[in-house]
Amino acid sequence: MAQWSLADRTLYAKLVYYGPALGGKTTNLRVLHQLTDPEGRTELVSVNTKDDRTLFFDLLPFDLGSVLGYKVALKLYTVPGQVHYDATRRAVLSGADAVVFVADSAAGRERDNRLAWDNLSQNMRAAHLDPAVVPVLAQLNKRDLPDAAPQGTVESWLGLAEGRGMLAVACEGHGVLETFLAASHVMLERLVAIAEPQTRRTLALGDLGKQLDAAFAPHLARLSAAGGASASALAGGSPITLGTSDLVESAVAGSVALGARLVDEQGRAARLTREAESLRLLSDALRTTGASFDRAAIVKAALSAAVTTLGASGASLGSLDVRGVVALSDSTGRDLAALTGDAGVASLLARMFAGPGASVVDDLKTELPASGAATAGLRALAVVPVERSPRTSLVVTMPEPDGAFADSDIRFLATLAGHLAVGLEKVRIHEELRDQRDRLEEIVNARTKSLRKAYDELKSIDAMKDRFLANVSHEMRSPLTAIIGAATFLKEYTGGPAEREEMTTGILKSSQALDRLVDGLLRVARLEATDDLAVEDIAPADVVAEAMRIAGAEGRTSVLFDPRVGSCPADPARLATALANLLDNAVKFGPAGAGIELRVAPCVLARPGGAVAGVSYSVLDRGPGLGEEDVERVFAPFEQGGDPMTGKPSGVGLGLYEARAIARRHAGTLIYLPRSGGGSEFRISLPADAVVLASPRQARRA
Amino acid sequence: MSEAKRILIVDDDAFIRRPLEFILREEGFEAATAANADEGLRAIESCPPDLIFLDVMMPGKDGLTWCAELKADPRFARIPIVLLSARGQERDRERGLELGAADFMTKPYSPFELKRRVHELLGRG
Repeated sequence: MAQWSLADRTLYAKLVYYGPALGGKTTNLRVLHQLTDPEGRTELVSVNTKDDRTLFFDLLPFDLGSVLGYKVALKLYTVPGQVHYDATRRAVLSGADAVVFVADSAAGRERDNRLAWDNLSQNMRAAHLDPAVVPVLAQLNKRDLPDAAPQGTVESWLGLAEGRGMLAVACEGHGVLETFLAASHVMLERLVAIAEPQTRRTLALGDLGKQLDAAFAPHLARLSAAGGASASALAGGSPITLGTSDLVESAVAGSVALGARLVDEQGRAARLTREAESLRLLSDALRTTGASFDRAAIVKAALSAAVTTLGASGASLGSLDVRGVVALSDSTGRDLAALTGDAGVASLLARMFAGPGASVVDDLKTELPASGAATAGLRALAVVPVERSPRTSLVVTMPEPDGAFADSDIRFLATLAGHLAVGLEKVRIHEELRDQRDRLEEIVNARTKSLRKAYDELKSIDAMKDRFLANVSHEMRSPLTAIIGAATFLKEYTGGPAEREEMTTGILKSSQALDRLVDGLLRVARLEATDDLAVEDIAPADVVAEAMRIAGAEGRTSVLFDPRVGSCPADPARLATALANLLDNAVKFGPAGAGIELRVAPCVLARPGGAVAGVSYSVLDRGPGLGEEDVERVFAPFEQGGDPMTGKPSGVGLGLYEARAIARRHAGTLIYLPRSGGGSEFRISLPADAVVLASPRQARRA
Repeated sequence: MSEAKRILIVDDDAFIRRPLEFILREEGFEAATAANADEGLRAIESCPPDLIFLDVMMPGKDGLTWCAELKADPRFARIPIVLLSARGQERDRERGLELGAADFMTKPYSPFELKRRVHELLGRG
């Protein structure tokens, strides 16, 4: 900070030379040192830092003589230009009253110049130096280089208006003093302007330009005498007249440019702060919704963050389907779903979705002049990919009249999209796991059910087996008891001829009963094992006669033949067995075998392809009939119609089972019908063109 | 010598009933037969027996039920009953003895074993 010392009427001020490394800052100072102190009364001081690299830290107490009634003691500094000496630069810059930026005109150093300029801007802000108060001048050095960029180009690197840079070839002394003079002029003007009122009262205010010209005169004279070229020698440069308003304007222009840069910097900092805040909000939102796996909430949080942060008019999540059609959902702010209703917008969106990265339309009115209502109030549109397959993207709109997406906005949206993609993936995995768990539960339930069913079936088979053994046991013990009794009598006692005759008959009949029982058991065993039927055209009357013989039902059965029945295909032996079983039951359960009928008649069988003609064989009795609960049970193997404790049916409970199996092997049926007037009807129906079904064993093999 | 003891055989199967009847007669008993509970009751009422052989499984009223009825009837409660069953199930035996049957025999039984029970129950060696 400048210091007006009333005691020794001296103004102490600080001028800093700034710029890229090797741009000529130190050369400027050396030239000035020679010019202003040819006798070398003061020394140019350099300071070494702790690093190997040497940097200069020049100090020049510089007596300009009397200006404004004060001696002006200027301290001139330069700073290390290397990027990594930023802390030193900032320290040197602190308290500066004016800054000279020495730009390197070499065409290849655009980037270095820009970085140094930006760096100056940042460091001035850090040092609380306002370019509006602390003037900054730009010197375009090394104008003599063969590859020097045009003046206007170098100025454009720094954001200067054309012609505002001070031209110089510092190593030859050209432009050095002129730059210094201009800087001093502007600096002093500013210092006067901001001086405290009591200080100002002590100043000998007059024409500052003239005073400076006078103060510099000896130096300029020395410069001319030394044969140094004037500024006019520089190509493209206009001759510099000290104290002209041009010089001042140049200085101000530099400050303005830097000021503008500063504003940009501040804007960017503010934006970064805002982005950071938005990301924090987003991350908070995601954390909050993280535990719920709520897709809608996660999407909503992301879209809200987009709208809030960018000041967007609307945000939506869009998806591209296999037909290449975009659908928009979950809008926040303006409802964007309606956008796809306009063919032009829909097609534009489809194209934007198809691309690999983010896509922006700056001005919808220009892009789609015909889309009127759909895009009313919207200026810019951005599509930023979220997920690849299926493609989903953030769709964000900016409002009229001047809404726009900056690069940083798109970067922010891309970050947001990344967050969203992770969130959606998480939701999807969660949903998949949940589905899988549900499926597993279903499978377990189904398995449990089928296991229980299998268990119940096994249990019922087991019970059936127990009943079967009890039945077989009973059926065998009864005739055996009779045989043993009769044989014992014959062996141990004489008895009469009639008694002996009766005992012999008893043995014979009981043996036959045993024989039938064994035969039945074997037949059923074979039923499971044999594969084929011996089908031929049979005469039903013959089969019926055989059945009655087997069952011993002759003489107590009325047979009714429908005259329409001719021959039909069947296995005669098997069919006779089936009918005999039915007759046997009728004899067993009917009242003393009375009222038994056997009817043979044409019938119709239902088939999936339509009804087919057939022949039915019904056996009817006047027994007690079947209770509803017995109708299916009696057809199961080893089951008997009556209660074995009371009804005493004789048989092993295989007759109906065998008969039904035989009917089915003929592609026919065996059903129970209550007989009108009381009793039972068991009806075998066989198709007239009997198809021989595969045996259960063959079916299993197939 | 006292009057011949009277034994009633109730079984629906004549081939079982008759050899038993013949053998008991040969052994000096008075043997009567019935094919079911109804016939049996008529026989008892007309001439009460000293012992009843009763088949468990019969059409109509089964042997166990009838046995319980006889034991509940003061007129006949004292007549010993031997149950005969073709089902050798232990459950039937227990049930029969609970109902008051004197004994339980499983078919096929040896006629000699049967004869031994008769002598035991009627007190004659």
